[in-house]
Formats: sequence, C-alpha cells, structure tokens
Amino acid sequence: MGGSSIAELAVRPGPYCGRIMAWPDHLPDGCPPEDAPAADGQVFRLVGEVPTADDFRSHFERDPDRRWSDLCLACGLSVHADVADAERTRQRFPALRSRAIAQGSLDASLGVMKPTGTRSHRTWWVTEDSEPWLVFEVTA
Amino acid sequence: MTFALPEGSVLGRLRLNEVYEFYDGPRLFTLINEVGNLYLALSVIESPERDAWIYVPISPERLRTVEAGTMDVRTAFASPETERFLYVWLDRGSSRVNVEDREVASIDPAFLPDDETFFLDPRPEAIDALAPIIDVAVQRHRETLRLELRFPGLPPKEAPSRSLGFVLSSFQELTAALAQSVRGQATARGRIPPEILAASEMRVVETFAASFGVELAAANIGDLFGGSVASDALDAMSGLLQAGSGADDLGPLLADLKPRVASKYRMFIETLIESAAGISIDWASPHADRGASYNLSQDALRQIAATIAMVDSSSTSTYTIRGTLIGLNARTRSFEFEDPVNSQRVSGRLEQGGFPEDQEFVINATYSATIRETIEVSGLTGDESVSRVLVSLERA
Repeated sequence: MGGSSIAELAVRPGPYCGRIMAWPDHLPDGCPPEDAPAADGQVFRLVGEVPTADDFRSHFERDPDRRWSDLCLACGLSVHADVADAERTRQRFPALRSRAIAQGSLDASLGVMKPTGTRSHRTWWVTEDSEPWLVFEVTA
Repeated sequence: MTFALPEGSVLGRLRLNEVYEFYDGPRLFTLINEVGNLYLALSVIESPERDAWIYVPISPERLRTVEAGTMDVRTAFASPETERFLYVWLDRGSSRVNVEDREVASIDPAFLPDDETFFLDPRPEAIDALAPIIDVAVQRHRETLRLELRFPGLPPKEAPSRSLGFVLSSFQELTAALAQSVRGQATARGRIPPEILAASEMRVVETFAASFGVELAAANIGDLFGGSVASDALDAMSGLLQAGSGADDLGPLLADLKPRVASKYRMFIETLIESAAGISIDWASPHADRGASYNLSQDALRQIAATIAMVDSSSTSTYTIRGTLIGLNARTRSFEFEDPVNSQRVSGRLEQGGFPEDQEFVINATYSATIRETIEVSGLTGDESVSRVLVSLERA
C-alpha cells in the first residue's frame, strides 16, 4: 500500500497521463482509479459554517485504524455537481441537516473526480498538499 | 462521520448488505446478520462527540417495496413493521458502539428524513425486467400493448384505481367500437354484437413501473399470418393516434370509422385528460407489418380533444317529420310527438329560446316538426342514449 510515486504517475495511463499529481501516502495502490478524470468545474460540498480543513478530511483520515471495505472510496470526499442534489442530501439525512452548502470551482491541480453513488454525486480524490477549503464558499 | 457497526450485541454479526445513499460514508443502507435478519439504517447524528444511526428491522418483502421506489424512506422508518427500533451510537471518546432498543412511538421526528418524497431510484433488480414487446407479441401470437401512464405526483408502480379503471375501460370500449367499424358492421346505436366484443377483448397480463405500466394482450390469438379482429382494430386506432390533432387527417378518419368510434375516441382522450395522465402506447403485433409507438402528453391530448370536438358533428343529425303533436309544455320545455310513418313516439326538450311561453299549440293536430337528434354513446356494452331537441314546429 502507499501512494504512487511521482515517477509512476508521470507514465501512468489514463486521463491524467502526462500530468504530475502527487497523492497522499495513505491512498492504496490503484487509487485514485485510473479512469477518474481531472477535477474540473463547479461542485458543491456540505461543510460547517465556513469551509475549513476539517471539512475536507476523508473518511480514512478521520478513522485511519478502521478496516474499510473500499479503502479507495474512504480516501475520497463526497461532492455533488448539482446544487439541488446537495440540498436534497442535506434535507434527507438528519446527520447532515445542520451543514451548509459550499460551492467550489475545481481544476486539475486539486485532484481527480469520478461519478459514484446516485445522481450527481462524485467522489473527489484531493492531491497531496493542496488546500481545497480555500476555493470553497458557503452559498446556502 | 465515522462509520462503525455494533459488535457483540444481540444483533449478531452485522455486515453491510447494501448502500443506497452515500455521502462521506454510508447514509442509508441495509445490514444483515449471520441468520439473515435485515435492518434498514439511517445516519441521524454526526457530531464531535458521537455518530448515531437508527436501525429498523425490515422484511425482504418490505425492503423490495422500498427498493422499487414504492414506499418512501421516511415511512419505512416512521412506520416500521416492528414496534421497536434500535438507536445505535458511537461514542467518539471511548470508540464504543452502543445499542439501545427503543419504542417506535418514541422516535424523534428529527431523526426522520424531512423529505416525504424521498423514494429510492427504482433499481433494475427491484423491477421486473421487460422483454422487448415485439418478442412478447410474437411469442404469444397475440396483439400486445404496453400503456405507460404518467400520473403526476405518484411513486412508480402506483396509480389511482379509479382513474386507471376508467382509462382501461375507455380503451377497451374504443377497441370494440373500432373492431365493429373495421369489420363493416358499424352501427350508430345499440349493442355491439357479442362476437365483436369477444374478438376485440383485451386482457391485462402484467403491470410494471413506468410510472405505472399496464401490459395488455388480446384475448384471442392471431391467425396464421398474425391477423385478427383485435389486430385490425388496433391498426385503426394506430391510424387515429398517428393523425394526432390535425383536423385534416383526423376528421376524415373519424367520419370513415362512424360516430360510435368518434364518441369512444373522445371518451378515451377525455378520460386521460381528467386523470391528468400522460400516456405512452407501445403496440406490437404478430402481424409482421403492424405495430407502433405513441407518446401523448397532456397538451397533446387536449389538442386532440379540441379537434375531435370540432369535427365530431356526425353524431348529431337534424330532420323534419310530419306527425301528431301529443304534448308540449312551454314551462317545462318538453314535447312529445308521434311519427305516423314509423308508429313511434319521440320526445325531448324544446330548443332554448325557440318557443315563447305564450305561443299556442294545438294538441293532436298535425305539425311538421324539425328535430335535432344527438346520439350519446356510453357504457361498456356500447349502449347509446338519444337526446332530441325540437327546433321548430309548423302547422301542416
């Protein structure tokens, strides 16, 4: 296990072939998936009152000792491409009801993203040393 | 959120069975233990101190209704099959997962989804997969239709029984009227012959989610070439649907098919309008050259209804007969007249505004009466009622 090295990524086939992306060491081999394209465009994430680093910690980072059935997924963050889906998620799940919806504009420097789950849900794998909370702003 | 399952509890060895909604971890999911007991679980609290979920025991049958999008998620938790639910919480300080058995009556409304229209997206495995309709029609060697009715605001696989009944009933009546017409036995009134009714009978053979889909098949199989009375009737119906709302196309077609068809077609279209349902009709036939698909929104249905109303004058006729005035009441605006040629008495209403109350008439005298007769076709058997209006009355 462990992150792919920069040398590996540089020759790795896939949508981000040719780009150099450094991933956190805790990501397992083969993660992010090779078919995940570079992050791009507006996304929405449920956060606290204002986006902070804590809002952008993955499952794995919150509970690293746990055995995850899908470790790669646990290393990603949930976002929605459609604000209505973010609103619906907040409304439907009591545990998320107090969250705010923050909008962020992503680009390839922030990682890769892939549709997972239902509707416009995406799992976003954030590159090492990036500060994604800085590109998010609470909208609702 | 930290996702954790209770261990060493009365719930047994739980494992994730299915995740329906995921947001930074499973939010709505099922768990199963070593003896096959299922629990539907919802994430309800996420705080620095604790993460919590509610579990409700759920039977495979009820789970299927949730998975099929028939039962909403809030109801699945608010009205579970058992009187008790489980409150499961992870104390972040001790990392211990606790299980509390609670009464459903005490469930905190804050633990339930706000959204009463929270239905799972129907999953393919929760819905019977439909084989291509042409394959089904050929295998059955029977005319086969799939009607997909879109009733607004209802979950998939549910339809108001009253509206659905009227739609199916009016569809069958239209099919029977078309069968009578295409067989050259069209009558404007009276019962449709039993052999035509039997030959054009359609049967419900299946329902499916779409939002409510009904599959119909002709009661009778086709001949060697796939032909049948029902096939001819449906072919004529296809012609009507193909004509859409264009008066130039629909008018002559309705005139050819005779008044009963026009009346039944109008009834079918109006029933759909009253049901607020859009409809898709997918027809397949064992007859190699037949079959078609149509999709009619409420707007399209209204346009067709307007066109039918415009062209459907053939069920009304005006004629003049010479006979004896039996009775006339200007106050109640009714009349009775005897037609000596047919030895029949006809009765009806006086034309609105056509007969002043002070106008005098002689009972038992001979008159020329101009009568407007309208045939209303209704009822499953094709019975008609005739209404007559006395337009004018002149002493002969």
